[in-house]
Amino acid sequence: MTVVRGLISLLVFPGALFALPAGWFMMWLQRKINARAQGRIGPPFFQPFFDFVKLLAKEPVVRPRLQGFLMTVLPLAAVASTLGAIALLPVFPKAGGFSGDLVLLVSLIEVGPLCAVLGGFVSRSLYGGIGASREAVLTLAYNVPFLIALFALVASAGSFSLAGVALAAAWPVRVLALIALVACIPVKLHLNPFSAASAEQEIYAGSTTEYDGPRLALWELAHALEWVALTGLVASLAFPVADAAWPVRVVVFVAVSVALVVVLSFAAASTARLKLAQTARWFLLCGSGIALSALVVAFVRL
Amino acid sequence: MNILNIITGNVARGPQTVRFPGREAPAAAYRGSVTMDAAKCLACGICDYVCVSRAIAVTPGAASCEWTYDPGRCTYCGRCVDHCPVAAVTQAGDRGDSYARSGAQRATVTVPYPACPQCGRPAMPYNEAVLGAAFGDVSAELRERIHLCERCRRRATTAALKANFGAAAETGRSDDGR
Repeated sequence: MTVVRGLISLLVFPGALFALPAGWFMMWLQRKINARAQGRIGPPFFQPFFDFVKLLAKEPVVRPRLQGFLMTVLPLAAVASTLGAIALLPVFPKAGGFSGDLVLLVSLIEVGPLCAVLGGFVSRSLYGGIGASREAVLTLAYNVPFLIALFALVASAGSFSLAGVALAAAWPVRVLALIALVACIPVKLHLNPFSAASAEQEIYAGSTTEYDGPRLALWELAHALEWVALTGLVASLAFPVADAAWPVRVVVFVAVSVALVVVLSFAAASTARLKLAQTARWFLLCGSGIALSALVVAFVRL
Repeated sequence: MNILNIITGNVARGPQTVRFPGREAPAAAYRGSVTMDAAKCLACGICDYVCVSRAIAVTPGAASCEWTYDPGRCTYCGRCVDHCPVAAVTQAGDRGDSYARSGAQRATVTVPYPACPQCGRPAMPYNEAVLGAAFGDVSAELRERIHLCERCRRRATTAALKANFGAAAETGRSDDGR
């Protein structure tokens, strides 16, 4: 991966230039679908963008210097790491990547929730603290199936590079692993039924309760980018169009990502929130079961 | 799976809500932003005194008075309007625009003090209605003195007192020896 190619993936596609509008579009689509499922008209198309601009223009609450610094740096780190994760997505698997970029991708994806946990505690709000502790418990829970599923893909493909996994993983393994990965997405995006970390009826906004103005805008941005990163990861692993021109691959990537948003939104609209312990149990038993079966299939094939 | 029936029904029926209206006209007699007419103001500072949220600040200066109003702090209670003795403070029927920075809509009105007709120094503004309420029947002498600055008014009062005493001295003592 040359420097120029890396910069293009970070800044143009699938990076900032694509990911920002795509993230806002996905957030709008989720809210619109949720609204329509509830018989409401829903937000206008540019609402996530308007929210972002409005929050940026707001004057933040004056805080102690260290707290203000941390509350600015943590969402910034979440935005930067999620953008880095998006840049690593194997949209063009034949173009390369490097060995071990899957490990880097997983760690970059995990920086966002980690920052949310720290940010919740740093804000010194009761609700922020509860949200952060729930986020931490859920992160531990969903990472068991998430990592097992990725490990199954790695074992099947025999490679730690994302391009290798996207091209070489066996399909039975891939289908099972992707089911486990898709099940993990609602937790990361705080969607029903796994939205205990930001249960607005109990703990307001969870870890971001105390955030305001530009700091909250950064969290919203990180959230929008997480949508692109997670749906994009599944899309690029589910449909690795290897032998097509680049516009076809881009269209397939975007279409699968958006389809996934639709599925997740309808799933969120039709389910109720599980309790924290129920969510954790679900991931440790059901989610891990699916992921483990993928791993077993991978090793049996080997 | 009753929830699926509900969702498909909702999607098929279409939205039951309407788009949020851009901006509704406020109701009649809506208590909105406070404005002040500098031509009527007496610079008495009562609006500053009664303001519960410190939205109004009256800062007297040497030749003029600064009247400052911040809608971001205002609770639109209307006490300043009720207490203004000369109805210089009024409330608009609209709530004003939104703003991003605190103090962004702070407005300052300068109330100039009129010049004293004798010495030309700044004198306090006055109002006919308040004059009538305070003194009842306003004599020509009082009407003359109300324009003066504090210093010239004191002089005029002293001169009048002296003149009265002089008149009393000329008429002589009273019969009972006082």
